Amino acid sequence: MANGFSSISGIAAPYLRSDIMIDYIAAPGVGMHDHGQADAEPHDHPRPEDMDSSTRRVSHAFEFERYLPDGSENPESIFNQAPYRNASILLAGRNFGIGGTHSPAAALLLGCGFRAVIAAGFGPVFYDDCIQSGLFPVILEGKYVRALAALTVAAPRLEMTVDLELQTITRPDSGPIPFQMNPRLLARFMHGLADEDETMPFRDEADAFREAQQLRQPWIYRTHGDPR
Amino acid sequence: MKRREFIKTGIGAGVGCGFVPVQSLFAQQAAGKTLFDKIWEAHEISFLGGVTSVLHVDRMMLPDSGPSSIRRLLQAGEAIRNPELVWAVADHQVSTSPERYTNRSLNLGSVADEFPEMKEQLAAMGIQAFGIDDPEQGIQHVVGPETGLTLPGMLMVAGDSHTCTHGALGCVSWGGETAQNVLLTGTVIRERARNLRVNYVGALGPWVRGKDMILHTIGTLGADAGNRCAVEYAGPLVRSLSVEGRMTICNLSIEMGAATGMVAPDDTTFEYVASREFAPRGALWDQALAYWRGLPTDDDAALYRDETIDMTDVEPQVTWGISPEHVIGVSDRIPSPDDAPFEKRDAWRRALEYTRLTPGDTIADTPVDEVFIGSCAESRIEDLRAAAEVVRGRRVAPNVLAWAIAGSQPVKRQAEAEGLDRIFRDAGFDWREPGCSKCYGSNGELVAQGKRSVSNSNRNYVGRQGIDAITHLVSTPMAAAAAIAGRIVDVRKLMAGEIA
Repeated sequence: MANGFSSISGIAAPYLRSDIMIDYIAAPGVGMHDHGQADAEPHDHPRPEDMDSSTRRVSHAFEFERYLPDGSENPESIFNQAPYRNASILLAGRNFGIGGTHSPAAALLLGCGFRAVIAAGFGPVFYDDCIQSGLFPVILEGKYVRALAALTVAAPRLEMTVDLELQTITRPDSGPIPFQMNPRLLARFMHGLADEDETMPFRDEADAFREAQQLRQPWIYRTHGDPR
Repeated sequence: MKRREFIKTGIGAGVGCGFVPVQSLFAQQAAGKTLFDKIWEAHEISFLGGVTSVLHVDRMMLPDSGPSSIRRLLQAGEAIRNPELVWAVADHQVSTSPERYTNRSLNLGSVADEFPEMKEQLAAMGIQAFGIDDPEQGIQHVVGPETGLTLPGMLMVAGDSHTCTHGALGCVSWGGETAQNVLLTGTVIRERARNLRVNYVGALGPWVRGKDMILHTIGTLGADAGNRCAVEYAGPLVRSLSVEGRMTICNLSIEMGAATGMVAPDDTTFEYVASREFAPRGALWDQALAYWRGLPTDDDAALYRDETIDMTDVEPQVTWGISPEHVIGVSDRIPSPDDAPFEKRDAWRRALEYTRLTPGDTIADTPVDEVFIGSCAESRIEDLRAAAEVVRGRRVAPNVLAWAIAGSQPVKRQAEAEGLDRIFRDAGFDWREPGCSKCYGSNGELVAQGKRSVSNSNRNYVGRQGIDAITHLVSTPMAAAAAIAGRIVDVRKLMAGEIA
């Protein structure tokens, strides 16, 4: 589980294209499961270190557009342009990271320096992955994302701040823009909690439930008594 | 709201059984719940406010990478909470080569070398495990229902995203859970999904199947239609499908972005479940059956969204792009990005660039290099029979590499008993061992770089089956037809003798 944080300031990169599929951020599949994957879990959550450039060219987020076929940087990609190449906040469009699969996309974005993504909407699996990985996802109405992008383009070197405690996004040239977030997920992110950190306190209740369920629905527990 | 406070009070007061009040309240509330809500509430250990609950897990499926997590837990000295509710099967890290039993190095990862040893350890802990040499081995989403480890009314979880397949039996199932948490606590913490019902009406044309129903649905509603939703597939067309066909539909729920997909249990389900190895028997069966009969959605249940999909005149479906929503009928032409909704134009352009197709061309007659029949979407006996019917007496086109993979050892044995393997082999198919690998390009089993595959699987994402490999998702008989013709064809025309 990644360490959480309560505030992040940095340069923002405007990248407002809609429907960016998770595989466009990080292509899935080939080779990912071929390297030390036995310890990765859930098993379709490969870690960036599981990927090897000899079997899999994808080791950077947005590799498809950041690099040309000959391996050199594509100067047209915003991620290769100053000052955005040092950005830590990504401004994204609608349905960012759609595609129903767990993927290293969030980890790869972290790997290239992003700590927060502000989007007009996320793919639900990717959103969960972000929280798990320590990449802070902010859902903001499209018009506010566009306004932030416009400010960014006008003054790209001004730092943007995402404050998790105040639940605001600020820039020196704009007032705070509030955002909403599920309080549990917010707390979970800030404290870097994993599922078991949240479920452990319920172990006694879980035991009581189990006892009751064994009486009520015994067939669920009869999987190993049957003759083979 | 009142009900939930009651549960919480009940547990907090040390009543010892948080569930009984729920059941009694079920009895009091005449109606108004969905299948999903009923199962969710029956597994609620604690309600945390908002839409979040801690839920009891009836089944945890460990993938073959699971033994490592178990080993870590053991090393850490942690106890596994409900080992008898956990099971494991070797599927993702095994080769599908017939030589995998003698040449273990074909299998990647820990499974081949360690599973026999792990299996003993797992068995000692009370965890059911199926290794590469077990007669039940197969793809987990085939094995679960087939062995009766999956039963109606259960909450089952796993790491694998296609765990939603099991919902076809009328249970709630999802992927993305960490083994660490479930093994340690026997619970999951989740936000309750909203209820989306998809009603299928009309009639299925010849050679139109469950796969076409779900692909057409994703094409119609969009790949994000299921966000934060539990999808219930309903209506007379679903009722008329076998459990296998329902599994194909539920399998692709995640491709609609859904939390899970399910079909209410009915006599078809019960007939399927009865006599499965781990299914209840005798008095327990009667008790279970009575409970399961109460699970279907009540007529007056409130839904977040209710959609109707008319299957009349829907053709066999083929994907043209890099998302399952990029799908058209086999007679249709490749769409132009100019015709896309504005916000999707860019995505369509990128998709067509990747799949190297030209708007205005027919999808039919697109030449194919490889054909893949396998995967948790469709590799059950009924799917293989449908493919064999197409393949029988024909030959795979020259230069097409065609694979047929049974989803499990029992499916494979059944297919061989029916002589289906001979039909595939005689036609020039490779008849291989159960496993996942080519569906996601692992274990060295890939679609060759830049080649075009017609696949009966569930994902056509960039690079899914191989580097720069293009995947066209279709039903199993459509994949078989493509293998024979060497190009994408309408299986109906092939079977009518209209295609040489």
